[in-house]
Amino acid sequence: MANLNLVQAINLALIQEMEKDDRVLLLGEDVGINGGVFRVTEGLHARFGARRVVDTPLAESGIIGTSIGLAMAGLRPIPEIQFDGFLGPAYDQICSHAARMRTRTRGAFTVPLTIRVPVGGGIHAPELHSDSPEAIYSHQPGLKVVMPSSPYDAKGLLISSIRDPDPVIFFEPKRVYRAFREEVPEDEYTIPIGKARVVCEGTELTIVSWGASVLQCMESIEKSSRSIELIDLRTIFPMDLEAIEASVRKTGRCVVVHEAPRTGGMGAEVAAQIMERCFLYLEAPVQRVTGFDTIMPYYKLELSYMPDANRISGAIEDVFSF
Amino acid sequence: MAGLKQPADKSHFLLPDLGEGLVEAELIRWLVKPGEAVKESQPMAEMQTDKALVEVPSPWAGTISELCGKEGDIIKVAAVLVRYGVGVASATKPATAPAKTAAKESAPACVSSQVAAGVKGSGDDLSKDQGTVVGSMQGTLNVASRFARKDDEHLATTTSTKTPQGKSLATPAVRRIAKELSIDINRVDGTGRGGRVTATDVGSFADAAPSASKARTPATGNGFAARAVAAPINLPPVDKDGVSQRIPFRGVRRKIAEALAKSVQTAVHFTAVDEADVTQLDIKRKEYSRVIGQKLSMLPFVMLAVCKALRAFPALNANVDDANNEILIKGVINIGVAVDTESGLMVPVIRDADRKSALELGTAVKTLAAKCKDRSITREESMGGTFTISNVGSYGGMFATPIINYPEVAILAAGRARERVLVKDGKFYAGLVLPLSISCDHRVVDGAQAVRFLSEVIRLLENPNEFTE
Repeated sequence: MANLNLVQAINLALIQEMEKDDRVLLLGEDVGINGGVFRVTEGLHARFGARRVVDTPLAESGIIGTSIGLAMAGLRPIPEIQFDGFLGPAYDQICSHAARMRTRTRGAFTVPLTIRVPVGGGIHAPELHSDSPEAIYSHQPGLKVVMPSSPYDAKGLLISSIRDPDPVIFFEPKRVYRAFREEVPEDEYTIPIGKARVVCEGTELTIVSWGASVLQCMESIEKSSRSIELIDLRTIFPMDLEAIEASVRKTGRCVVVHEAPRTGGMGAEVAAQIMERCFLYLEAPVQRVTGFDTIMPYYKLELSYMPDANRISGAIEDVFSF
Repeated sequence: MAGLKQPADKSHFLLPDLGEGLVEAELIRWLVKPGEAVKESQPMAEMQTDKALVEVPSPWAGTISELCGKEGDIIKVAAVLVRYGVGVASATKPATAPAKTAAKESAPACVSSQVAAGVKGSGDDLSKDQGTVVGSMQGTLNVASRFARKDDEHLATTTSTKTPQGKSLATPAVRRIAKELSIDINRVDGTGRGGRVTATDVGSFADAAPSASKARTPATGNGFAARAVAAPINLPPVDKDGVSQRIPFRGVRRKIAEALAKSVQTAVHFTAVDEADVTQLDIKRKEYSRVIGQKLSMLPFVMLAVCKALRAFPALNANVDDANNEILIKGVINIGVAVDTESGLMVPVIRDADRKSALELGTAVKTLAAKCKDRSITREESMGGTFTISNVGSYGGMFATPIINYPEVAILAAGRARERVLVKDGKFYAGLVLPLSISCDHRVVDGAQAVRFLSEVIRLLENPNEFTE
């Protein structure tokens, strides 16, 4: 076991998978000699060489298009898109090709691609560097969308993603990158895609969250005297609906917390699923605590944009006082 | 922690990084003594980091020869925390100089706060990491233990989908009806599809339940609740005069009626009302309750104040003997306490109340009230009162016009103490206000006297140190 932060856990997962499987390769802007914009690929260029850790031009469409070709040809590429906001140029490749290739070729080809993307705000970055686009890619059939909130989950989920036969968007919450350390086994382990984690159990209210917001939920729960169950989805799509259903049937109340804008965010999907599955158990309407329907503001205002413990506590009290 | 290299000869132990990137920690308490043999992982010291109290365990078994630091010292990361001696096993003999000098040859100096921090091992490849090129990475947090990952958690991540026991199935619309009728929906059996509780089920439940559960139904509201449940609830049957029940007027109820009628027909009632700021008294009451380990209500304290005031105003501590045309000023103070029972009002009497403490008064009230409720109260225990207190405030209410417990001449009613905005010296403040109403027999007690007495009671209540022990 080693006490690692999320950056180090991903670094470890990449090293171990690259050593185990020589089909695995990395490509992206500054992932090689520089070691990655967040140092996630530090040391890998020296260790595995320029043919397996490839510095690319600043062209996201090209990075993903190339990766699709590599994947269809039998390799396991792990492209890195430097920031969430830079997914835009690659959208066409991801949604028009990577997501559809299995269907388009009637199963003859799959695209075993893991697109690593640092996501979300909280690090005082400029525009296009703090977005939370998980709903956009969850809405595109053919993609899996993963967002761990801890070093342990990051390692296990990244290995599952690399080994998955289909494209996975692997979002890494920047705000968690160095927020805390956790014991992460050096031994090989995987965490299945599509399984949520019950972070703490409770009987009166369920919080469903993912990514960096999970930490704010913990803070709010710590301050609350209520018995609150916290579910960290870990995988946004396919969503662990059984875990949500079991919890909300037990508690009868739910608050969904995410950093992405409210309208059409995955919180809406969680709420709708609860309506369909838990309607007869509900004591109060599902509440959402989310970012706002605006462009993520520049860093002076980013903390006002992202859900914090106070806003979450407010929603909890709204639900209980309904 | 991984980056710090401990000595291979296990001669001493360097304080590791107790959190993420901590450079120092405060030594709170030693858990071992020099000369003590320690096991591997045995806690040696309690240390306070920025965020947590941490026990520092011994990384190996050995015998402590020296503790490097006093409780309260700030110890830098990578400074020597303890030294181990080989064969220094005597628990009675503290560390000696030879052990110290021997160790010094191979270890850094044993100082607590001057040693430079930041000694990092070369093995930590990421330790020099800047974190990010764009923006800034900042802040660390500790994850509370309740969120800690359980062992083999990843092997079993699926939670049970079993339907929870004891929960009713109901649509929100039905839940609302139940809520407005103050009915716990989980107590209602469902007869609808899949066992769900219907509006009719809630109505039937409300009908069958005692009236108390329906008492809080909003009178009108938006009319939805009334409309929704009007059909299923059956009204009790009534006769042609609209009477649903005829109760013989006798027994305790009759006695109460006769006594009250006699009082009202004989005594000339008037009532004066005022308020006492009992904020300080309430603090005192809570302190007192805490000290004696028993919850006391406000009533015993009001009784204390009344007893003291009655000594100053003996005219209110009296009986009227109408048969002999005499006013009997009483030398003893026996306080009657109005008790609400299922059968009706009873007034047991606490004798020599002025000689009792708040705890004794509280206990006496409880004992007598219990006797009233199970009807074991004796006639003697309800006689000989010289003044009565009615604590209607325990049920609510503000002011009252209490009826004198004839042949006494005065009765005090205490309403519900409520937090209120008060004004003193031109400034607002929040205080606890106790409404008081006193009824007197005007034949014996004049208005001025009654109000002076009431003012004295209030003065005492507002200065609890004058009458509480």
